Amino acid sequence: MIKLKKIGFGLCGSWMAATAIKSGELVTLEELNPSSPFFKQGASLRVTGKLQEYTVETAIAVVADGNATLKIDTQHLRDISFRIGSIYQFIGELLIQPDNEAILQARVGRIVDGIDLRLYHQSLQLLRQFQADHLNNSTS
Amino acid sequence: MEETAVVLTIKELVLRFQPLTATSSLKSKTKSTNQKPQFQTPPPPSTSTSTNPNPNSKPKILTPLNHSATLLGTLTLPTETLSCPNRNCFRFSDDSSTICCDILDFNVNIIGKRIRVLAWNFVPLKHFCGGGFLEIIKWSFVDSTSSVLFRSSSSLDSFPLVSGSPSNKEDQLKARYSVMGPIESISPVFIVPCSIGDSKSQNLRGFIVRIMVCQCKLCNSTESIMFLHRLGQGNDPHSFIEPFFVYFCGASWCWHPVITKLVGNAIMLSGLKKKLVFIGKEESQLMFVTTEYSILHLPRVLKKWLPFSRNVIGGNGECGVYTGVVKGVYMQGMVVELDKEVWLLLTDQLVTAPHSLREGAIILAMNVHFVNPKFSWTKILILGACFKSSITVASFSPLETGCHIVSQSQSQLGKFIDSLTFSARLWTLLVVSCFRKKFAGILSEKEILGSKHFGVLTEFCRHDSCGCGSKPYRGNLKLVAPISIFLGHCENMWMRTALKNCHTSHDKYHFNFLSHERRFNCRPLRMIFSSEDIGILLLGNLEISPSSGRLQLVDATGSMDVLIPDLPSTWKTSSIYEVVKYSVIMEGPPKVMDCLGLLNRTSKWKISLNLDLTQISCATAGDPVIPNRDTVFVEAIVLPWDLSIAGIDPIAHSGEISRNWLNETLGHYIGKNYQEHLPNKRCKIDCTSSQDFVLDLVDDHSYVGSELSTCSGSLRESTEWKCRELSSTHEIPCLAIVRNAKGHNLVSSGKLCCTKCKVKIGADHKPIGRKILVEFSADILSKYQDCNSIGSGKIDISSEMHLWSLSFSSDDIVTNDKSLDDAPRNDSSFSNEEVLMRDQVELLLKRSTGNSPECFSDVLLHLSADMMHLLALELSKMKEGFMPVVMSGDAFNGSPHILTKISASNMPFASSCSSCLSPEGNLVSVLGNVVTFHRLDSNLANAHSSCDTVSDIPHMGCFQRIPSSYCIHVLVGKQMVRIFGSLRKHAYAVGFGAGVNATFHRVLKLSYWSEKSVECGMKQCRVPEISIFTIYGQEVQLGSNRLMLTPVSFIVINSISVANEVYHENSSDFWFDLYKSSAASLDKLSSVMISEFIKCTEGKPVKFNCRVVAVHVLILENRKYDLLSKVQSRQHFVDIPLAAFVLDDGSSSCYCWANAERAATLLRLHEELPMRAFESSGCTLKWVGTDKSSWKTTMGHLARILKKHKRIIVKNHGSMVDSSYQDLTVSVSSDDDISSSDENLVKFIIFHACFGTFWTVTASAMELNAVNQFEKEHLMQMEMTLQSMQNVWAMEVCYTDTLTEAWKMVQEQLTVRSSYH
Repeated sequence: MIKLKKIGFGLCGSWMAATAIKSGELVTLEELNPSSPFFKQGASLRVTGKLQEYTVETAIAVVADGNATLKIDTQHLRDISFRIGSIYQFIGELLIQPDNEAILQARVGRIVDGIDLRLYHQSLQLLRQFQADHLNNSTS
Repeated sequence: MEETAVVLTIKELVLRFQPLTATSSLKSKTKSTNQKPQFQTPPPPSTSTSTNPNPNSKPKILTPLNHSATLLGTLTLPTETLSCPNRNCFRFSDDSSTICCDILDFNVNIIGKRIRVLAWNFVPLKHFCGGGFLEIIKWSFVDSTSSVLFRSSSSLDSFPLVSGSPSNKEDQLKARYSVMGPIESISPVFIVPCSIGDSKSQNLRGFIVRIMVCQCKLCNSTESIMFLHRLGQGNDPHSFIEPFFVYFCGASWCWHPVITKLVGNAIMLSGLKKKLVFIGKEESQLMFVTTEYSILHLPRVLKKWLPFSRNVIGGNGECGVYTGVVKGVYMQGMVVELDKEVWLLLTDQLVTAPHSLREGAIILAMNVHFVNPKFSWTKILILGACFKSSITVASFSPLETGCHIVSQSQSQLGKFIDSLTFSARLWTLLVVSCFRKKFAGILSEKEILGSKHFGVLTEFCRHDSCGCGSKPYRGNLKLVAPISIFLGHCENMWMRTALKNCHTSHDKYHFNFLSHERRFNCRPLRMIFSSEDIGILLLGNLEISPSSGRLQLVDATGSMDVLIPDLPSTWKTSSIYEVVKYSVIMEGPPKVMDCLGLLNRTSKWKISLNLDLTQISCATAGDPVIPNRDTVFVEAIVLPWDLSIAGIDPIAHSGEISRNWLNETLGHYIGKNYQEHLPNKRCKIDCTSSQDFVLDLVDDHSYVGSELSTCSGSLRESTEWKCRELSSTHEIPCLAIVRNAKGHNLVSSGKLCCTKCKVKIGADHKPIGRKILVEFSADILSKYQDCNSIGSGKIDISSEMHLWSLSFSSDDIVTNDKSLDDAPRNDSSFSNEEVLMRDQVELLLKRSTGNSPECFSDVLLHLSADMMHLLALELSKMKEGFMPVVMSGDAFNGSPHILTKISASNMPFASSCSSCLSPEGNLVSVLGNVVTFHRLDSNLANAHSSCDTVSDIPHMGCFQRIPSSYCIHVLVGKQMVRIFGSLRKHAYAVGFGAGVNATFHRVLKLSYWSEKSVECGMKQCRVPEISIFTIYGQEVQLGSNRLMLTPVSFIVINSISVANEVYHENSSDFWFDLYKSSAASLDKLSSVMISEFIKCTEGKPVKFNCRVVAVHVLILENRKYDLLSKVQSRQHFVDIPLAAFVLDDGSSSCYCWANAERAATLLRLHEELPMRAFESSGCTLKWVGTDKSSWKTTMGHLARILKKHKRIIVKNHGSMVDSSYQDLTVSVSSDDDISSSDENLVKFIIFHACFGTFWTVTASAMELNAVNQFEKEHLMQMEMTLQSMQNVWAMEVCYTDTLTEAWKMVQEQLTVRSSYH
């Protein structure tokens, strides 16, 4: 964990030097479009998708979920092998490039083969509903 | 203020030929315009004005004139000059032209007066009514004098019906009658051919009005005019109940539209003459007939007659008034759609609707019959018009819809339609409209169907007796649907029902299916709909499908499987059957709703019908469960009687048969020599071919009936007399009535010769007949195969042979019949040389052919009562000794059946399974309710649950290799029986499934059983249910009730329960169907926490996810020698009589008691033992047997140890909470001490279990005294104690399917949320 934090600080230092590293917010790839509230420079996200391609030279991976894809910068990850077709989960910060293309600077990555993505999305929806309810209850 | 509006002429309107409306005066009375009249650019001339409107195109609103335009003209009564098909419309004429018109706000004063039409609609008509139809919405008098007249002080207006000076002075004297009262109804205008003088004939136009008259003195006084006056003011309560008929004939017929408008109002007619009108030949009716002096009196203020305005609609044909908006006019105006689902039928050609009855108009239908046809498939109200009916328009249609011109041609179809009930008329018209193109040009010439019409006069006056009142208003109409459409309808119903079920139990549905899929491979859903619910009638032929061999109902559009429990043997493929009462059984895979609620639509349904053709119960249909459908087996018992019938004589000879003969031989039967009394005829057969025949009583005729009759149609009746030795001692004389191929009945004498000499008497002194197996190939019955050791060899049956059905009647029945009073009945008459009376024979014949269903057989044997009694006695003995016994629950153990061994070569699958033992046992019949059935596939064996696997079932090793082996759970009495075997899809009986009451014929009762039953000394323990079953282990411990389907087995479905139940909702667990004490099906149980256990259980089973924390006590035993275990490698020698686990789910812990499979599963004995087990235990694999694979599992190792030590007890004196701190002691019952390596291995197995996976355990809470008993019996002697924890008994143990669990949780959450919001 300490190691990860260090990496996080290193990455995020330029934007959020003062703030501690945030937890990766659960988000589906399809939600990550420019109009989405998650689509913010430096947003900490946790994404899940099937590995579509991986370039060893650049350590850029592309994961897909449905029709949506996302580039992942995996240069900081260790002990992870990339196999096309496997499902991966990454936690990292979103870097929006000038051409409005987003790339996730991954600080955590793992294989989550066997995951039921539909169930995952369902539970994500439920989780958000729960959080919203919880927030409402605590504020009111 | 007078309006200044443009005045248009009729000619202008007609020439323009454009539908128009001029209603601006209605909106702005004061607005005046000086605009020149300007027509808008005319729309393309409407050609559809006189035809049916296109239902697809929405009619547009009539083109309004953008200025106020009036018409000036005169309203006149109808004349015959205009080419109007109705001939009784009002006329409107100005200087330029005359057209038909209708008028709102009608006043009789208007007739003949010059009026200004302020608001109107114009509908052009090409060839009729002067070129168009005018609808007068608002008008005023032009002439001020008319208005003055209208406003005169008199409250009564009088109108002479015929203008001009009267010509007939004689009439004046006769015309002294007057009638006063409200008009109840009016007939259409009709023509009566009249002869005046000698040769002159004239067609007399006229109509009849029914006026309800009050019979009180005042009304009948001459001052009645005054009363009418007062009536107008509504002062006097009169009861107008006496109907009077007034015949408007001659010149006064033109008042028809006026009177029509006045229906329901009180009027007075004076100057009438009385006439007796003859209706038909005998009946006469008093009528008042209008004359030249007749005058119509009307009160100024018209008042509606009250009974007319209130209606209670019962829908039973009562007359009433209906006001509604015209939604559509079809079939040349014969069908008018009013509002929603109200249909006005104007089928009578004479009853004409006004032209103003257009789409969009509000009409008043008076004296129409309200008929609620009570169609099961739709809800409609039919308004049937008859001669009493009249239709007026209350508000003209603002839409540009055409007038309907009904042609007056009286077609035969029209007559036919008139002859139908109103509800039938509607559907006939709909059918006709469907086939109109085909009918076009044919109907007018061709006489299709005739009808009886009484004529207007009769029907109007005798409305209730010979008009529409005599007909039932509601025919028992049922919708007949072609089979293809019917199938589509059924599929729709299926979808709707399935969808409904999905909505109601959305989440359960889904997940139940998932969990069932594992266990029972995709069992079909079944729904049953009754014909009452469907309301559709089917017509079709009954045929045997060449592909499936099933009985089908076939029509030109499709076919469907049918199941007829009482199919008469006389059914013919050429007959068309009307299927009235039936059940539709639909089966299909249960549809899985995905989380989006989309229904998988790709599945196929199997639809079959369960029909009720007749009440005749002589045959039962069933499909044999045999692998090869080319052949059909029939098991038959040959009763030890040969029937020989003397030359079959026509009925003419029947009189010669002596009654004495019947009786005399009876005496000989009892003891005398009778040989000389035999009729000589028997041997002398002078018919074309020898027609004596042997009749073997095919006992299993229930089956024969259905199958044989399919092929016997082509068989000829030419049987051969098989010479049999008449060395028997018993002969029973009888009278035989034989139906030949042509359906004629032949009466002859015959005798039943007992062949007991050939029959072995069984050990219990019961005569045993021969049992034969008849094999029928697909085309024809091919051979008889003797399958019993008793009896002679094969009997060859040629393809020409015919099998006869047989029934008996006894003398009793005939002589007791009251119709035979003349036949002496006392015994003395019997001894006389009395000849059997001809009428008695006829009666017998009548019985044999007649309506009584019990005489549907080919051969009827008539015996004397005593003989009948003897025969019945013999037959019942036979039955006891030989009939396929339908087993009751108690009969399973040791009933004396012949041991049948199905040799391996007979089994279609045996070659692939040479190592299997051939199943051995008795062939029995089982009658019971099918509780559930499922396939036994390899999937099942692999399922990670403690369920009974294929290998647990004897011989299932063989079945395992067949693609679809089934296990059928049948409840016989109170006992659950399992029947295994191959149920080929094509041999799968129609409608078979859970909920069916079926007889399984010729199933093999296996003679030995797995001794798997649990011997844990638990019988005393008061754990509910356990002593009967172990859940899903499906071990039936009550007895060895395992039966096997053989190639000669067949299933007869006796009944199918009619209940629309979603299959796996309550039948997944036959357990709970049987023992309703357990409330819910296991699969329906939702998971609970152990901590919640105590409060929520109340004896019901609960389900929870947990892990094994510790093993408290474990008893392992070596299984006793088992034949099965030798055969099947999967069987092991480990038995677990009792084990106590400590389970924990994070919320709390509990003791879970388990045995057998459940315990083995929790101990992970079916899994492979990891290699480190051997490292830690210090033992090596070198002593492991050669067959390594069989020793791989933990079970194998345990079995090895148990073989040495017989019984191992493991006790844990350590922690019940922490798996790591278990203090296990292993003790054995043998004299040898357990080796340390073995001890370590056992300990490892327990530790391995405690650090295992998650389990889904279904368990029931144990009562306190049960626990105490346990403790006393098992734990005390082991010096073990129980901590105070909840005790449960494991009923089912499964690996937790986390994915399924997760889905379930999500779904539950979604449901909760959706219901919350």
